[in-house]
Amino acid sequence: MTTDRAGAPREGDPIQVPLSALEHFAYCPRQSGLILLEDAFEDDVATVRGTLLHQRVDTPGNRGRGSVRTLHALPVWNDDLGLVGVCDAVELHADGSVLPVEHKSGRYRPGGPADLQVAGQAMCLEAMFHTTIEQAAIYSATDRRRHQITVDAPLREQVMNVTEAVRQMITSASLPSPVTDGRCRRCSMVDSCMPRVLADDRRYRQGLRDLYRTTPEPENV
Amino acid sequence: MSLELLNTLYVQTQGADLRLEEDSVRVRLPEATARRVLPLRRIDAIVVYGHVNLSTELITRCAQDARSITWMSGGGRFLGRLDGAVRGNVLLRQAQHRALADESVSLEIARNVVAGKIRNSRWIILRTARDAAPPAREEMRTVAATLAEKIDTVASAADVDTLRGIEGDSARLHFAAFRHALRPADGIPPFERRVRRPPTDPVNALLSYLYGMVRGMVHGAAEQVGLDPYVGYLHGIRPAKPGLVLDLMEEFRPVLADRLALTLLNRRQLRAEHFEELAGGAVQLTEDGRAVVIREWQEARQQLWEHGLAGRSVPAGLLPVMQARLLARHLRGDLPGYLPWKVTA
Repeated sequence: MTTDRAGAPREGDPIQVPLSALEHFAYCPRQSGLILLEDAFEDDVATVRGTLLHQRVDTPGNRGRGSVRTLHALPVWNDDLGLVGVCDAVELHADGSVLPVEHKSGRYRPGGPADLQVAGQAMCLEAMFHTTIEQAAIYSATDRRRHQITVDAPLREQVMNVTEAVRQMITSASLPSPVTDGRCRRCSMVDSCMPRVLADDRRYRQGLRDLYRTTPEPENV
Repeated sequence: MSLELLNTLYVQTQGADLRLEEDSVRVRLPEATARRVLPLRRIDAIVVYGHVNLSTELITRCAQDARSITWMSGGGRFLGRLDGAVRGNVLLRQAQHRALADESVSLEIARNVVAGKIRNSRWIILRTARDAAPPAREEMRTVAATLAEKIDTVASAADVDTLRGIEGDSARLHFAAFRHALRPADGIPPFERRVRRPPTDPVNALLSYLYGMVRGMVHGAAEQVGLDPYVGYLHGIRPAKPGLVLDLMEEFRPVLADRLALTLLNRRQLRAEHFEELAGGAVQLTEDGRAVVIREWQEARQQLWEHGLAGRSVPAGLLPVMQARLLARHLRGDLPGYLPWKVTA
């Protein structure tokens, strides 16, 4: 397996995992499978809100504000980890520290999937800027505030574990099973996922058999 | 958002001009000072008939948004289609080809497609028979009984060729019953049998036109889900023939097209003056006739139908998307077979 990045891929390069997939996979493995393997992203109100929010931060470039320089829509990668993605905002502080700030339209949930994404960003930035990053941030448009995240060893390990799980999913090209729980109600991809239909295998098989059964009179019409 | 039924913009006024204006399409009709502006976000497809101009900006914007544009001849023949970039679901396309190469998988999909069509045809016939006069009613019930037997032969068919044969026989039976369901009308000759390329009588002209509508809808559904419209199982692969679209259309033909044709003719919404005969004998809808069909088709797309698996009612316009998804899920190994939509469900 080789990567599809420009230039000659090195032998043994790990398959690139998009940073956004870390969040999707942590939320629901199948959701990330539908996006990565089936190219099936669907918009809903929440995702459109996210897109609109990102138009503000997605224009590449840098803006200065006092002692902080902010880079927007910055492409980042870490070839050793096999991670690649784009940071919404990266703040370069006067003291030399680098702070990735991921923008989210929804509410922030401590320890949630977004932490993994921004930690992954930090790990990319560390490799790119030859520095150590111990803090990252998530800006929630709903809360209208910034939530500080400590990029500690357990979080880093989690990033690597999920990265590997996503990579295995890509390699095997097989879709994880649906979770079929409360998450599905809020998921924009529930239509293409079909958790309800897949959950009731018995009913589906019955439907296949019934296809060849006819009743003498027209059924309830 | 995907389950929201958006509108298709049909333009058949010759010389009409469509342009992109901000996030809207501006429609200018010849000899009309008024112009209409429709927001693009409410439109999921544009279908134009004959001489209609679209600005390059509008075409590229539609390509970008994956909003399809279909070009039809003035008479309603399919000419071409724009769908924007090919969707990236290459694994699904690969699974489609693998299933085609595997005779047993191919056969099972084709088998269920044919069973679904015959079931729905039988349902329409029984449904229509209730309103028919006694002699016709009996004829139609006999056909329905024969179709029930055909379903048994579908279950045991050993190859796709046999299935195609059964499908052809069933279609002939279906149209034989259709003949009895049509009320006689002035200037419209009685329906004898299905004639295509070109239709030579009004009823066939109407059927062909409606099948074009269904085909466009199903083609869009296949594209939306990421299926290759040209890789079919019952219809196989042939250049320029969208085999999969024809497969997925089968279950919808009797319910969405044939039934609407009956309604339009029996209610006299379409009359002899809505058809014209061309030199040589081909018959087609007039512009007024097409306007009636398009209006009623738009209505029919909104009509709710039960979908057993979805556990709720679904507008006709979304049934093909749901069915394309079921097929995709089967091809990707999630579901044990392709289950066509059963109108009785």
